[in-house]
Amino acid sequence: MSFRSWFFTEMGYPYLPPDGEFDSMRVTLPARVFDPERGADLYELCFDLYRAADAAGLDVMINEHHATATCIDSCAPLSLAILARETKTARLLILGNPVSNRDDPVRIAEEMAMCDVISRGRVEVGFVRGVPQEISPSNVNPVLMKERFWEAVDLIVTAWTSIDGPVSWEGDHFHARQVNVWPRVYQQPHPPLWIPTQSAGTVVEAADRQFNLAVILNGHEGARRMFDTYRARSAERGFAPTAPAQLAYLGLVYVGATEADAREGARQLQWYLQNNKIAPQFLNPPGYSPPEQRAPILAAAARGAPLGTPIAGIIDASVDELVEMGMFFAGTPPQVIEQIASFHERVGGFGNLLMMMHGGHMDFETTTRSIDLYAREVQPALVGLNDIG
Amino acid sequence: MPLSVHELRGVTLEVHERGTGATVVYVHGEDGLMFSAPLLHDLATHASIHAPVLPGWSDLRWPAHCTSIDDLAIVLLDYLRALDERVVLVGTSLGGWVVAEALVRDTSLVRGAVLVAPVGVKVRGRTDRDYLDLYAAAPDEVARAQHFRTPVIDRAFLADVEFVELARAQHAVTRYAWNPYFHDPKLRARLSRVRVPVTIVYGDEDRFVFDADSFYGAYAAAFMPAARLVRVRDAAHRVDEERPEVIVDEVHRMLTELSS
Repeated sequence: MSFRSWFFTEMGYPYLPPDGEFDSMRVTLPARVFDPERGADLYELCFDLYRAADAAGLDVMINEHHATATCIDSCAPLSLAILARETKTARLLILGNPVSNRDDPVRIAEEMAMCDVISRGRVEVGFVRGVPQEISPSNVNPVLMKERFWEAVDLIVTAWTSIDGPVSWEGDHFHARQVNVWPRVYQQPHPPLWIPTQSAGTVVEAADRQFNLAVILNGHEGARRMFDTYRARSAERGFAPTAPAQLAYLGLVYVGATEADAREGARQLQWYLQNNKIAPQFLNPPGYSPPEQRAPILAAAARGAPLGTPIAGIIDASVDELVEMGMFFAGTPPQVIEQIASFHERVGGFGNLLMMMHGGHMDFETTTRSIDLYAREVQPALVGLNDIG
Repeated sequence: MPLSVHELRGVTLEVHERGTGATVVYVHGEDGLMFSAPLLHDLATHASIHAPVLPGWSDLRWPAHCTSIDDLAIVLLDYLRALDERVVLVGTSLGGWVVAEALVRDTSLVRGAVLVAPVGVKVRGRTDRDYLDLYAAAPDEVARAQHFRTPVIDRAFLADVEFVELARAQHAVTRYAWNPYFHDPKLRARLSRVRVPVTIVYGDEDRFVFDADSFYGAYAAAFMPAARLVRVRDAAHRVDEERPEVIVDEVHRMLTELSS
C-alpha cells in the first residue's frame, strides 16, 4: 500500500480543574486530579477505538508522555502489548520509545521483540528523544540526551540482530553484559524504525540512518522543509531516492457526513490544541538545545517576552485556519480527500498520514463515525496517491 | 584583566590575573566570571588574584574527559601544581563545591579556603532535596533564591553576546550538577580529611538551599576541625554579588592569620 493511514489518540485526560487553579498540565499537575474510575473508562474507550480502527482497515499508532494529563499512555509498550492481541491486521506503530529517558535499552529491545512476535510481525518501532518538559520527571541530563538517545538506539538494534549468542556492550552511557534477547524479533532483521521530530537537526540524523521520518503538526510549510531536508540529505549520502513510505505527517483529522457534523467533531478535537498549558520553566531547559540557539530565548525572557508552548501559535486558530495551515484535515469525505491530496502535493509527497482522530471529551460514537467515514470513503481515494505521476 | 593560558593534561585553561601579594585562586560559580568583576577588583586590593575559567564555561574546546565536578577539582589541582606555590582558594557556590572536592583530595598546595555559599553536600533525607530545583521552579522563585535585592547587574540589559555566555554557563552547570542534583553523596563524609583552615560564608536570605542556617551549619561541622561559619545579613545565594565586601574581609582575615 503506497499511502497508509494511521489512527491515533493521545489519550488525553480531559477532566481538569478550572483553568485558573493550575499553572501547568505537565510535570506539576497533581495526580490527585486523576479519577481512577474515569481513567479506567478512558482507557476502555481508547482501546475500543483502536480495535474499531483496526476493524475498519486502518493502521494504528500510539505514543507516550509522562507526568501529564495531556496523555495518560505513560507506558506505551504496555499499550502496544494490548494492541498486539486486540487488533488483527493493523500495523502497530509505537512513536515512540523515549530511549534517552529509560535506563535499560535491552529491556526496551525485549518489550518490542515480544510485541512483534505476539502480533506476528506487525510492530513498527519509533524512538523519540522526548519533549523538554519531560526532562525533569525522567531526571535525564538534558546535555547528554542526544548522546544517550543514539547509543540506546544502537544498543537496541545490536540486541535484536545479535542472534548467535550473547554480546557485550560497554558504551559511554550504557553497560550491558550477556545481551541475548529472547524472543528474537519476528520481522528480520528487525521491525521498521521511525523517528518523530520537530527539529531540523534530527531530520538529518534520521536521513543518515534512513529511519522513517514523522513530522508532527508543523503544517505544510514546516513539513515541506523537513521532507526536503530528508530527501536532500539522503541523496547527498548516496541512498536510494526517498520513498514516500519513509515520510509521515501527523495532523488532526475529523471526517463528518455533513459539513455541520464535521465542524462539530473538529471543534471537539480542538481540545488537544487548546489544553496544553505548560509552565515556562519546563520549556527551555539548558542542554536540550545548543547554547547559541537557547541564548535568544533567554534574552527574550529576561526582556519580558517569555517563551510560549510549541503550539502557542495555533491555540486560538479556527478550524478553517488550521486546515489552511495543514494542521487539521476536517470536512466531508470529498473535502478531506481534497485537503490531504493538496497537502501531499505541497510537501512534495509522503506516504503516511498519522491521524489524531480523538481527543478531549469525544465519545465512542462521535469518533467511530469519523473513523468509519475515513476508512470507507477517504482512504480508498488516497491509496494510489503516490502512484500518480 | 590580563589573561594567561595553561595547558594542563589535555585541558586548556584560561586564567584571569590581577593584583599583587599573596596568591589567591578564585573558582567561579554557576555564571562563570560574568558577574564577578566587582568582587575580583576588591579582592585584588589585598592579593594576587588568579581566576580560571573552568572547562565548559569558556568558548574553548570542552575536553571530553571533563564530565563531573571531581574532574574540575582535578583541573584545579593541576593548575595549583603549575603555579607551584601554596595558595588560598576561594570558591563561590558551584565553585565552592569544586574547591571542597579539591581539598578532600590534596591540600599540599593549599594554605586555606573560603567557601562562599558552597554547594555539593547533602544533609537532608531522600525525599527532601537540599537545593531548589532550578529547572522546575518558577522563574521568580529562582530569582528570589539567588538575590535578596534587585541584582546590581540587571539581566535584562545584557548584550546578546552575553546571553550566549550565560546560556553556555547554564549548559555547563547542567552537565556537571544534574544528577545527583548539585551534590556528591560522598563529599560530606570526606570533608573531615581536610586539615587546612576553612571559612564558610553564606547569606541569611539564601533560598537556593533549604534552611540556610541548618544547611551551612551542617556543612561547616563536617570539616575537622569545623569550618569558621560567617552568616551575612540581607544576602541570598549570590553573596559574591550582594555583599562582596564580606568576602574580601574574610579572605583578608585568613591571609593575616596564616602569615602571623
